[in-house]
Parts: sequence; C-alpha cells; structure tokens
Amino acid sequence: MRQMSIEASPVIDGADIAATEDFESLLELHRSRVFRFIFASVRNRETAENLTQDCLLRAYKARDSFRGDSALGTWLMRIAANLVRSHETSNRLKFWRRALRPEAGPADARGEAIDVVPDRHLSPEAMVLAREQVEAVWRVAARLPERQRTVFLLRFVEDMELLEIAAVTGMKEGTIKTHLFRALNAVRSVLEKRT
Amino acid sequence: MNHLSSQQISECLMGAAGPDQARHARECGACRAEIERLETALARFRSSVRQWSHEAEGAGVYQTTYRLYRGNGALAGLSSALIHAGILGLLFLLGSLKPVQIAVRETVSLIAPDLSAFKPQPRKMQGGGGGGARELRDASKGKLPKIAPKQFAPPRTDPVEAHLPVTPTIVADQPLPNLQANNYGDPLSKLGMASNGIGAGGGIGNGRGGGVGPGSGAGFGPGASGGFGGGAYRIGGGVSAPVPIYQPEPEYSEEARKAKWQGTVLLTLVVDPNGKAVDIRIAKSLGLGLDQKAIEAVEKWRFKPGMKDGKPVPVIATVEVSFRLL
Repeated sequence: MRQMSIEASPVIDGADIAATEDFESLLELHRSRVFRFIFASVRNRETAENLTQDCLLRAYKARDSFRGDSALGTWLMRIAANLVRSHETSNRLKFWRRALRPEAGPADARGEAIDVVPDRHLSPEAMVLAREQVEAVWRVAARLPERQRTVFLLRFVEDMELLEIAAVTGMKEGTIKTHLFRALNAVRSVLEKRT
Repeated sequence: MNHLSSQQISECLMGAAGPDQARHARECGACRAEIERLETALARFRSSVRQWSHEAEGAGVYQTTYRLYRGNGALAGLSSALIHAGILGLLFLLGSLKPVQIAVRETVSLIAPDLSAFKPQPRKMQGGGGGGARELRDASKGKLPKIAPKQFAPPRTDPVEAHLPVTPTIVADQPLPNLQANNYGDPLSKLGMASNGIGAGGGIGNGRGGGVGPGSGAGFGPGASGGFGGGAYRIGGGVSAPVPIYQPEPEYSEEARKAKWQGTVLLTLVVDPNGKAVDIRIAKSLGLGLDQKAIEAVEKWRFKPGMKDGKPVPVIATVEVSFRLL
C-alpha cells in the first residue's frame, strides 16, 4: 500500500527535496523498488544489496544536484540502471566469478520451488504450468542483452511508461521500442515453444 | 482488416499501439486471446519477481545460511566435526611418519657460528727461557723458582747473601714441572755439582737471559721470552697470526690425478720470524703422494710472520692445502 502511494506520488520540487531533512527517509521509501530492479537485473541477492546501497548512497551524496526535472523514483532508477550497467561491464571478464556464483532464480529465494502465482483459484496443473511459464520468462530475461533486459524489466516489472523509461535510460523512445520488440520476441518464442 | 503482426502485438503489450490496432485488439478474438495470453504471462512474471525481490530483501544472511542446511543442522554439525577431526588426524598421521620426521629434521639447520675469534683466549703463551753464568758445567738439578709475571732477580744455584733478599722468580703463567729440592736448579737437568750452567745473562742453564733452561729470556725451558714449553708461540694472547703473502699452488701427483683423488691435507708448521714455514708436519694425510706435494708447496710459501709486541716471533700455524681436480 505504501509502495503504491510512493509510486503514484507527484513530482516534488527538487529544491524542496534537497532542503528536506528527511531526504534519507525518502530514499528509504524507494529502497525496495530499487532493490527489485537491481535484483532482477543481476540475479544475485548480495550483489543486489550492495548495488542498492551504492545507489542510495550516490543519490544521497548527489542530493544537491538533483534538479527535479523528473520524479525522485525516476532519478533513482537512472542511477540504478547505470550502476547495473557498470557492474555488468566490470564483470564481463570475470567469467569464473560469475560461473561460481549461484544465480538467484525462482528456486533460490525460498530454497524451494516457487509457487508465487497470484491466481489462487488455479488448478494444480495450471499452477505448475504457470510456474514453468514464469521460470521460462525469468530465464529469457536473464539471457537478454543488458539494454533489452533493462528496458524489459522497467516496462513489465516496474510498469513504467515509455516516456519514463526514456528518462531513466536516456534512450530515445524509438530505441526503447526496438529493444522492447526484441525482448518480447525472445519471450514469445520461448512461450510458444512451451505451449 | 488482417490480424495484428507480431510487432503490432508487441506494441499493444508495451502500451504504444495506435488507435486502429487498439480497436482491432478489442474486436478480433484471436488477436485478443494472443495478447491476453502474453499479458497473463507477463503479469505472472511481474508478480513473481516482486514476490522474490521482497523475499530476497527480507532474507537475512543467517536465514540464507540456515537454508543451506535445509534443516539438517545435526548432519551439518556432524560432518563438520568429522572433517575437522579428519584433518587433525591426517596431520598427526603425517607427523608420525618416519620419512616426514626425517625430512623435517633435515630441513632444520642448526647454526653454530664459529665464535672462537671473539672468545677470550687463554694465555697459552709458549716459549721458554734460559740463562747461565758462563760456568764450565751444565746446569745442575734443582727446583724452579717461583712464578711471577715479572722477574726482578734471576735464580741462582748458590744463594746470595743480602740484607734485603729478593725472591728469585721466573716468568711463566702455568704450572711447571717441578721437584722438591733445597736449592734452585734446572729440574730437567742431570744431578751433579751445583752450577749455574754455561749460558749467560744470569739464571740457570745453557741459554741466555735470566730464566732457567736452554732457551732465552726469563722463562723456563727451550724457547724464548718467558713461559714454558719451548718452540713457537701460538696465535692469540697478543700474538698475531701469520699471513701468507706468496702462495704457489701445489702440484698434483700423477697417481692422484689418475685416481681422480681430491681432498685436503692439513699441515702443522711453524712460521719463523723470517716468514718461512719450518718444521712442517702432516696433521691430516690425504695419500697418493699429495702429502708430499703439499709440503713441497708450503715450503715455498712466504708469510708475514706473526708478531708479538711489535716483533716477529715464531708462531705455530695450521695450513689447509686443498687438492681439487677441475
């Protein structure tokens, strides 16, 4: 509930925010959203926690330069997206580290197969199918290139509008559409293979 | 109107569809079903990711670590204890093995540096003394005078009558062979009539100086400059070591060369005040003619003689001559 109210919060004037003593608590309100995006991007809990902390710290340090042309959430997501990208770049050569570090997945979060599917009225078979579907999408998202994945996650997990995504990633709308097409095609091809 | 292309379906999904496509998506059953199918999958994905993220965020380190055991805490503890005990046992087993012990012992090198150069040298000053009063007979037998670091009066066989007699002494620093007698004399001499000997300079014996014996100086016995024992000085106690200044290499004997014989000959010799090696003796032999070759070589050597009180003195030295086939 609290989450929803934050996401729906109107653009606050940047000068006011910078002046606010409670900037830190404002950041805290966005923490789980930032964490969710980073966690879905890097698929490792510890890395995601570190990067989230980094993101909030950077935002706190740069609070004076927050101009307020966008919502605080958008600004934070922009920092997070940049952090994820630099993390990927720095990790590109660290093959072994990536190979040895277990990737968080549907089975990781709770130590057992996930059954988080909102439709409680589904039959057990449909439940299994839905679970497999979710896992398939998760794996596809993991294999996507960094930009496609970021755009995909922002659109379909964070429910952002294309313009908002443009503000976060700094890409043009057409570019975002192209990335989304490719990501969706990958997801669809996997889903069609399963059905 | 045709069905929507995959691109148009994607546009509908991402919320960027034009009005025509949106209407078609509402009206065409097949297209709507396709879009709904995808939307359902994406919605499930979204809610699942949100759920995982929420759980991952809440999951503390301890919780995660605990989950590694999957509830088998007892098993985990047992296996941990077993592993530790195994490692310990392996270490003990390794330590008890003979080859390991030998290997360890061989790698440990005890260093015993040669500190002899820094230790205080016992004054094993050798030397001797001699005297005499230019008499016709050899010195007679008798007891030695007392030992003192400095001589004031040389001994005489015939005591001098004086108002303030000075006890005659000789210069030495160690117990000397002596005998019980009433008058002074040379303990190593033959019995006979009392005589101070044919030497000169006071004292008793055939040498020179105020001592007793055939040497020179205030000591006793052969040798010079006090003390006892005769012969050359030893290094230390104020006597510097002789330094070789000319060392021709020894030749190899034919037999040793054929036998590929190598080693070291240890020679004991006296470096005389002229710097020549005299009285060469073999302390450690090597054989096959090499001993002789070593002596021949050392005879040609020249030394800066050992010094005592700024004067060259004969000094006993040990010389190692190494024979190596290259």
